[in-house]
Amino acid sequence: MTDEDDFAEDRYGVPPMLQSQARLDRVLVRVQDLTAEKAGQLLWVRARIHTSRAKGKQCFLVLRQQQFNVQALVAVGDRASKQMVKFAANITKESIVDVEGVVRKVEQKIESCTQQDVELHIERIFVVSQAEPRLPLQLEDAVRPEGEGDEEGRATVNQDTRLDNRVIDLRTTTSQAIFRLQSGVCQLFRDTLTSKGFVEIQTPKIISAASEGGANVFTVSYFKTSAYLAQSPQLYKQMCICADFDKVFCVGPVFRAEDSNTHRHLTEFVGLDIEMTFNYHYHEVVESIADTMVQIFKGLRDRYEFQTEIQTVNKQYPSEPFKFLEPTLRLEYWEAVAMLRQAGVEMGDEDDLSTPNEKLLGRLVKEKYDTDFYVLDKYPLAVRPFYTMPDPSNPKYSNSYDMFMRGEEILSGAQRVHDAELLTERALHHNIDLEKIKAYIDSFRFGAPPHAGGGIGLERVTMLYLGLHNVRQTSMFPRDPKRLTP
Amino acid sequence: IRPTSRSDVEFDLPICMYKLANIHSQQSRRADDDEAHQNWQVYPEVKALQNRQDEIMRQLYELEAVVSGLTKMVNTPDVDLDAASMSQASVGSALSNSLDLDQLLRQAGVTLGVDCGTPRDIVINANPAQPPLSLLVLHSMLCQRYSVLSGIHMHSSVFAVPPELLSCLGPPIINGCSRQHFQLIFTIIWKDVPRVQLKFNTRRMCTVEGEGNVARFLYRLLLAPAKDPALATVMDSWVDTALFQLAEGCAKEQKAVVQALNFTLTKNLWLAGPELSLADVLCACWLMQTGIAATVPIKVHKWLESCENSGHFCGVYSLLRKNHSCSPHKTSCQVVNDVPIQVGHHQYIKLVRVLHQLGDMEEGGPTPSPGTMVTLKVLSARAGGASGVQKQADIVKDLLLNF
Repeated sequence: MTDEDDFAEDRYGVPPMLQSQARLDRVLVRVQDLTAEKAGQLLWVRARIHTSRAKGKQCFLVLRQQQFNVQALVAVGDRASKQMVKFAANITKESIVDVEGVVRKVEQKIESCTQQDVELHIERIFVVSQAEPRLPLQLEDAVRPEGEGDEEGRATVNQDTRLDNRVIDLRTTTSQAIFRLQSGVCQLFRDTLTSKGFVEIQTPKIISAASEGGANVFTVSYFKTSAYLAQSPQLYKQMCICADFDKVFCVGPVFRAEDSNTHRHLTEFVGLDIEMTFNYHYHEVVESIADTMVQIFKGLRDRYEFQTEIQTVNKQYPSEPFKFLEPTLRLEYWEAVAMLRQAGVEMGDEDDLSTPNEKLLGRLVKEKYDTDFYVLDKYPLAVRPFYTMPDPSNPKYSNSYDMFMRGEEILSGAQRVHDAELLTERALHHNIDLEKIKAYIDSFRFGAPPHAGGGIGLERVTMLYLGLHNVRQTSMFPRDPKRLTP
Repeated sequence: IRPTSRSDVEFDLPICMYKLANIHSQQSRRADDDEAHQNWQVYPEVKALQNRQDEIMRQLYELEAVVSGLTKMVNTPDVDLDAASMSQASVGSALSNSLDLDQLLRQAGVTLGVDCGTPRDIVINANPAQPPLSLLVLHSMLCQRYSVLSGIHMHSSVFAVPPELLSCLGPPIINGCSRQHFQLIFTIIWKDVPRVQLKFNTRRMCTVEGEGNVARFLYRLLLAPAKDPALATVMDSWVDTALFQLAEGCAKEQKAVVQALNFTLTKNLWLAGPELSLADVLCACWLMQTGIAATVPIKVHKWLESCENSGHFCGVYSLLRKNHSCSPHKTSCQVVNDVPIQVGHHQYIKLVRVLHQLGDMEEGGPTPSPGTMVTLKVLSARAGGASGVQKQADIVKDLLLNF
């Protein structure tokens, strides 16, 4: 077949690299908007080639745009030549293409696509950005549930391969859904706190002293000296309270140099921190924080767009729906110890809860109250940081609390010691060098209101809400003791 | 032939199979016989045993006397009253019974594990579409007896609960007290459940299901089980009457119950025993919930007034008064109309979409909680104002099926 037989040669090809040569007055329609209402319309779509399959004089393509996809057809006819069909069949997967086509209704639903009622009959197709032929992983393998892979002998993709090729892995419908939901968590967190009168603050991450103490801090060289990456915005939140901001929150990175290679630890994560003053009792703060979490859960439950995301994730990672109570259930530490002892665990009244015990407690609470989220109040003073306010009625306990989702801790908080003298005394009791925290203690010398707060990890909350099993699935580019890239 | 034996030979035939000494004659001889007495002294262990036995019997008699004295004292607050004239079934006023909570729970067959310091936390799951009003009365009675920390929660399986149900246990205690300071924790969780459930000690007890069984369990925390089986049977019978005939029966059955109540209350102030009991609580609550309380005979009406005057029905009356505008046969439905129909969560989302597509929503469109309320009003309009949970459920099913 000679080129002069190719009557459609101007309808397909690889144009020059798009360097903003000209601004076309062209509307690109989103794939999710390709519905039966647009039947008969000629329109342009930009999407990725998800799959292509040539069959005689036709080539079937699936065009994908984020979590939506639609079937497209290039068929030899008066608008497309044989060469055009062959060209379309040879476009590599994941290439970005601009297609012009007519939307046609289909008689039988296309079950494998999100747009089931229509297909696109292509009249023009151009490759905007070509992908290399060998992909490091196949997207259909990456969205396959583990069990299905084992049973049917089909390939799945392990976590390290996903993380090493994160750019490709993030294109899967599941990853798109997870991070859109995570964005929703952050958005709901901001919206709820703003509606409660909180002010968002930005705190420094390069600091001169370790926030939480201990050795779990990254050191960076800072000109001629050294500095640290903030383990939490604790100090600055409290300083804002002392500066009369009343209620503050911040969203930002948190760095913990903890050599823990577990399913729930990262060395860098996004912290959602809250701090607020209260009038007479720190339970005012506990209720406010718990209510914020409940509003997040309700937002994720009730908004239609999040429902789609949750269902998409559940297709690959099935889990029980997340349950909660409003107002949130608040148990006390002594009750938890009693429940655990009744279940056969041996522990002292003031022992800290180990991770297995936390999980068991979560199951016991779920059994009785049918909730995946609860607050555990009145922790023993001995297992809490030095700035935690002791319980006035029992010095062995403290005005501190943890919050749990699906039996895993997501928030640790407390009423802070707002008196410089008591703070000094508590620091000495913990054998902390007062010189290192002098600036912190000085913050409370000029009238500090009683306050309390806590912080959650965005990735962990998302992971637990969706019932996933590894926090790396909910961290876009995770950092742990063994991973620094991409 | 000569005989081998002579016929005139006399035989000494035995008349006794075993020869034994006459023990009676031995005993009488022993008492007087020094030798026998000496023999007795040879076995001092026997004597010691006899002495110990005598001592134990003496102590038991003393204990019995003390216990009967205490029983009289407990059951007879007024010493001038003759305890013998009191009914055996009356073990004392429910609220003055000195048996403590743990003892009552043990008698109810519940192993608390109190040695572990386990909190006495009663969790009741109930559907807001059909609130178990009798439990509110029992809650009030428990509060009078013990220090109770009450709490109400809305489970995530339910989208909205009327504000009156969220405060049906009275104002919350906001004093920062530890949960340890309360004898009992009473928690209601409004949840999408088919029947009322009670969970107490999940390690040692299965879930108690059904309003009647839950009410019986709670009542056991107030009173020891009635000693008179006849009275206990009467009480149980009225409880079953309330739950099966009043709550679920047709109009004819309800009428029959009212007649039975009228007959019983002609002779007695209360249905089972000399005072307000579980039978009265359940019958009164279901009589009010069905809406026929307004048309009962005078004696039943007076009995309902007595229930109200007991002070434990305030929560129930305030809940029912919220629906005073309804006609009697729609009373129970009106309560339902104010709460969301319990569809599954995915069905709810689909329903909202369907109603959007139909254009069948009020102005402003739905938002998560108000959306549910709007949905119900729309359904009522579609049903032509028809009432009844079943009718609304049918409409929901129809919509979901066709879209």
